[in-house]
Amino acid sequence: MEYRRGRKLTVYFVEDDPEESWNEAISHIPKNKWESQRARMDALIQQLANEGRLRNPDRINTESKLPNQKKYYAIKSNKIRAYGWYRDEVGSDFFISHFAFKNKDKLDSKDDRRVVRNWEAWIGDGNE
Amino acid sequence: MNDFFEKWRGSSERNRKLFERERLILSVTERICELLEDSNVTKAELATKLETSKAHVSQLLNGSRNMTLGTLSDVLFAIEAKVEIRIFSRKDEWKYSYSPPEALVALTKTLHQDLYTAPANDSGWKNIGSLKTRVAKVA
Repeated sequence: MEYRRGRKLTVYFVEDDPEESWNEAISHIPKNKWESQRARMDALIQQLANEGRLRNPDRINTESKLPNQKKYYAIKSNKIRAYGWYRDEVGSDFFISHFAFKNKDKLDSKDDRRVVRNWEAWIGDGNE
Repeated sequence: MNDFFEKWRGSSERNRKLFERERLILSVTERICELLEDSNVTKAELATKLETSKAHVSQLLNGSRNMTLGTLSDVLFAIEAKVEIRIFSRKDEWKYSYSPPEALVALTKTLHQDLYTAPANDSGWKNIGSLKTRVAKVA
């Protein structure tokens, strides 16, 4: 599993090939913005790993609930989202399910299903 | 295993430059958000203090609008904060990436407060004997 280690926590990428959903997500935005988008998401992940949380609600919000009733979140960089959950409470290790392009704020049911599917696989690996 | 963003970043000087730009914007704006949260100041209240709109403040804090150094100073002044700049060569980065243990950070804060509030003698000097003892204990 790919991961990013920071001063406060580690961010894990749950899917085997996390770049696949990233490439799909950025394919919806103009090509001349791909690099800056990548740099922004890279910096967001580093900030989360170093500080344990993101403060600005424009950058992260509670998206929905996992089957265990814990919350999962969306890290936001313009129209790209990184969906994920904390291992325990806010500030513990963070797990990114996948990336997605979002044209509106409302959660898409297919992204919800994908988060739950990835979370169930993660649980299946003995993580809770 | 490094993640694919890190691999991308490490693959060219241009990518590192883009990352560093975003990292700086995030560090500054997230710190401001933290200060706002700690002091219970809303974006609307900050906008009033800066004599601007809430939308403008939101744009400054989410990085969609560039912040000049002058604006940064005004924002910090409005929330009774100030900035210290530390610029260093990238080759010396390792010297600054060390995070001190939390106990040491907590002790430093306490000592700073104690030193600030300790009574001074007639000559204006403060007795820091007890502080020295406490530092020695932690060390």
